[in-house]
Amino acid sequence: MEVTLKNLTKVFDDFTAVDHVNLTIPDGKLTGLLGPSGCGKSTTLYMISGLLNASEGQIMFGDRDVTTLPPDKRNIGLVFQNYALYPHMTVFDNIAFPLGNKPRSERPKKAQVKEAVEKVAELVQIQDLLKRKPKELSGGQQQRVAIARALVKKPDLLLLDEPLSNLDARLRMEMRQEVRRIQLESKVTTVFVTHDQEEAMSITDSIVLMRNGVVQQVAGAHEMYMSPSNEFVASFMGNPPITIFDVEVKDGVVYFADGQTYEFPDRADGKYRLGIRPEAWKKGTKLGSRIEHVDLRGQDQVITFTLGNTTAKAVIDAESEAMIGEEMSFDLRRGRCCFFDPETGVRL
Amino acid sequence: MAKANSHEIRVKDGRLVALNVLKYAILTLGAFIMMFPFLWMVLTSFKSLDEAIAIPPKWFPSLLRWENYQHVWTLAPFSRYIINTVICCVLHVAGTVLLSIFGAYGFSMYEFRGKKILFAIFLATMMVPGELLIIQNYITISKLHLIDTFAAVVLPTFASGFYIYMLREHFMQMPPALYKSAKMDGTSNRRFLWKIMVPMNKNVIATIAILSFVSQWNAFLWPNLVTQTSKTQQISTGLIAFQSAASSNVQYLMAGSCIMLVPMVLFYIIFRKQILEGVAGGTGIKG
Repeated sequence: MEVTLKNLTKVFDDFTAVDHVNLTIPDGKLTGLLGPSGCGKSTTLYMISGLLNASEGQIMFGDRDVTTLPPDKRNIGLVFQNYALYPHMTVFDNIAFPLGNKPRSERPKKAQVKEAVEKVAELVQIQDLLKRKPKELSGGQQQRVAIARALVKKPDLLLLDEPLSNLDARLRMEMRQEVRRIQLESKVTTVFVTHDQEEAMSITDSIVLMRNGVVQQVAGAHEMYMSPSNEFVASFMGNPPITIFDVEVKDGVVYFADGQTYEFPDRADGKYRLGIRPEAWKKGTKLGSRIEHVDLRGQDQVITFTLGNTTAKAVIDAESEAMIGEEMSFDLRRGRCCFFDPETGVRL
Repeated sequence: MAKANSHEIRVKDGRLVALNVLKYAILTLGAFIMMFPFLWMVLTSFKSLDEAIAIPPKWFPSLLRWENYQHVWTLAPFSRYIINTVICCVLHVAGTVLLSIFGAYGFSMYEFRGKKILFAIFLATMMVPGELLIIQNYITISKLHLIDTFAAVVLPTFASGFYIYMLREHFMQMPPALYKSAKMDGTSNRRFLWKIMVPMNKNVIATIAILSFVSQWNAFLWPNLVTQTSKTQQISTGLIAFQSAASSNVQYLMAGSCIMLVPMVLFYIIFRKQILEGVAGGTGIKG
C-alpha cells in the first residue's frame, strides 16, 4: 500500500515539529526516515500511526484518507524502540495478542491463531522460543518477537521506531540484515525511523532525510550520498563525514583559505562552500599539509590534517604507512566534490 | 604488616560477635514482651478457673484442659461467627480490589476535567479518621434499611483512597509504550486493563487483597454497631456477646479468643511474605 503525506504538519504549542511534509512512501518498499534527534522523524511516524493527530495536512493510505482515523482502524503494525512486549505473557501469547482484539464474532479460532503465530514466528525465526517469557530472551530475540507481533495481523504498513538502537553493535548489524530480509519476504510496506545514516544506507530502498521538521531530500541511499541536494545532506551522510571548506573560485581555480589552489575548470567565479568527501582525496602533488592523526582501519587509513583553517579527514588505502607529523600532498577526484551556495547551502 | 592486619580483623570480629549477641538479646526480649499477652492467653485457655485467677499467677496449667474449648463451642455459635466473618471478608476483599483497580485505572490512564481535584479529594479521605465517619455512615445505612445485614458491614469501606493511590502509582509506572502498542492493535481499554495491567501488577493487587482481608477480619467498632444478631455477627463482635455468656470464667474467654485467632494466624503463616511486602514498603511507595 502506498502512503502519501500531503502538507503534513505537527505543531506542539509554539514549536513546529513537522513542517508541511509532502512525501510518497512507495508500496512494498523499505523507506528510512532519517535525521538528527529532534528533526521530526518520530513525530511523522507517530502521525502516520495515528497515535499523534496531525495539526494540518493529510495522510493517504492508497486512495483512503486516514488523517482522522484512530490507530486501530489503520491496520498498522508498530514496533517500539523498547519493544513494549508484555512481560507476563509467553512469546506465543504476545504474538497472538493482537488477534484477540477483534469483536467476538470475527475473532479467529484457536487453531487459526496457532497457525498464524507459527507462520510469523517462522518468518522472524523464533519458532523455538514460543514458550519462553520475554525476559528470558536476548535483545535481538525480543526485537524479533516485537516484529512478529506487529506482523501477525497482516498489516498494510509496518512502522519501526528506532528498532535497533537498544542493541549492541554486533547484534545491530545482524538485526539490520534481518529487518531487511523480513521486509523482503513479507513484502510489507515499511517505514523505518533511525538517526544512524549508516543503518539507513545499508538496508533501505529510499531515504527521507529530515531536519527541523522539513524534508531535505528523498532519494535512494546511493543517490543521496553521491548527489546530496544541500550541505546539510552532504554533512549528514557518510562516515568519516565530508569536510566543508570556504573557498573562492577565480578563472577555474579554487583558492583555499591558506592560498593553496586546485584547478576546477568550468566553475564560475565566486565564493563557494566546497565539500570534499574523505575518499575524494588521493595521494598526489598539489595540496600539501602536515598529518595530524592517523587512524588505521586495516584496509585503509583515515588521515586527519588541516588545510587553510579547516580540519579535514581523508580515507586513503593503507598500502604505504602514513606517519603523524609527515608532510603529505593530495590530489582530488573532482567528481566526488560538491559546491554549495554559501548563503542557502544548496548544491550548485 | 599482614600480621597486624589479621590481628585487627580478629579484634573487629570479636567486637562484631559481641555486638550481634547484644542485638539478638534485645530483639529476643522485645519479641517476648510482644508475644507475652498472646502466650498468656493460650496458656490460660487450658487452665481451670482456680489456676487462671491464682495469686501469685501460675504460669502453666497442671494439665491441658481441652474441655474448655468443647464447652466454649456450646456457649456461642462460633462456627456461625466464623462463616459470617469469612463471608464479609470475601465481600470486602472483592469490593475493595475491584474498586481500587477501576479507580486506579481511571486516575492513571484517562484524562478528564477535574481529575486532579477529584484525586486530591480521594487522597484527603485518607486523613479523616474512620471513627469520625461512623455517625454519618450509621445514619446512611439505617436509612437504607441495611442494619444487621452483611452489606452494612462491608459497604462503607469498599472504596479506599489509600489502595487507589497505591495501585495508581503502580499503574503509572507501566511503560507508556505498552498502552500505545496495545492501542495500535485495537485493544479495548477493558481488555488492556484485565489482560495487561492487572496481571502485570498482580503482586500489589495481592497485597491490597491481603491487607483489606486483615483489616476486615480485625474490624470491630463498625461491625459491632451494625450487627445485632448471630445472623450477621462477626467473630470479633460475637466474642462480646460471648463475654456475658462466659461471665467471669476467664479461661473460657481466653479459649474463645484463641478460636477467633486461629484462622488469622493461619492466614498470616500462609501469606507472611506478601503481608511483609505490603506493610514494609515493598509496594514501591517509598517514604
